[in-house]
Amino acid sequence: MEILINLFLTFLRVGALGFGGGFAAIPLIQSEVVTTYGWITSQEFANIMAVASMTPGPIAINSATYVGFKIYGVIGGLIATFGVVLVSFILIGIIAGIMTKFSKNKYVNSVLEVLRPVIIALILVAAINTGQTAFFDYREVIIFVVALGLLLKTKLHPIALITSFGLLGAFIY
Amino acid sequence: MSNISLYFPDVKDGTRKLTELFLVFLEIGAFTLGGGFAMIPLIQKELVEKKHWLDEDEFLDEIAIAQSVPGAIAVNTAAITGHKVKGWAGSLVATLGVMIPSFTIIVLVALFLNNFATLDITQAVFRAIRPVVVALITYSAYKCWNTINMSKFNIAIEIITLISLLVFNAPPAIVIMLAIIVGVVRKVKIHGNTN
Repeated sequence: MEILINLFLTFLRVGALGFGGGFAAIPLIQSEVVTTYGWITSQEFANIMAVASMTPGPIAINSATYVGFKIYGVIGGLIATFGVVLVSFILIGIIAGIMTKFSKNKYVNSVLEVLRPVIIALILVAAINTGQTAFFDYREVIIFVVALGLLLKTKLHPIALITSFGLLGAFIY
Repeated sequence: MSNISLYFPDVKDGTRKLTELFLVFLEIGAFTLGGGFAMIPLIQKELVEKKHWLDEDEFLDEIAIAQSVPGAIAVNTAAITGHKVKGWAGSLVATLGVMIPSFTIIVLVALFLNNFATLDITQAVFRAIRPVVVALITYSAYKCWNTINMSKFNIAIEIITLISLLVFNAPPAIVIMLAIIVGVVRKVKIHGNTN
């Protein structure tokens, strides 16, 4: 029981402090589950991170589920996952409520106007950061160019694109 | 009786919307590979282009909020989109939807495939998917850029943000806080000038 409570509190903290997405949360998770509690060895942690970034879904959630599951089975997985999303879920609900209420407010609108180009820059930087681990030789460049071309010229669904290139990858590599 | 029949279609519509919301985010959750940002093009396609639940501006505003609140971007985006479409219930349903595929897959991998990440087949598939994800995110940024005004102010903000993120490695949360301050100050200043 104590383990479950600690697990919940640990991932509550990770969820509450992890600004800027899953990659930002990784050092936080590591210091708690490896250093503070010793639930998981560094090697196991590295394996968990590799799996978390290679399975569908947000990395913070995936690693919470995996760590929780390793420590206390399905219940551990559920508790850790619940902990990691709780704070943002509540905050988001409150902010969304405030936004709806003040959507006509001139200050809110002014802030949103400034935020739009900022967010586009953040998305672009996310593309660049992802790109740093994506390109190994000319084949990845070709895949990138073809995928971008398809997106610009056709109405192909992103899921269709991911699935077909994933299958292609199984054959060409 | 007439009250019920007036009331009933509404309930049905609400339930249908919640179901749709759940299914859309279940699908998005299953195909969000390579971090929360990879979810942005999927949300854009499903919620802006197909369902018309959000317009492009609202979509950008949501990403802004999702970024300025702690936690996984994918979960934040799901929660806020759900909230926008159908209040707290929508938020809950969308968040559950986006989490169920990853939860299930992680448990299965932990049980049966501890070496999942180092398998040849996983490596091969991911090598091909990563550049596609980069293309998807780039395309998303391009599409968002087309929806905002090409004003000098916007271009300046865009360049300043890119420099602070890429050159100075500024944390996104700080950049967003600064943008909020600029937004408020700008309004105060414009207001002062017109008076």
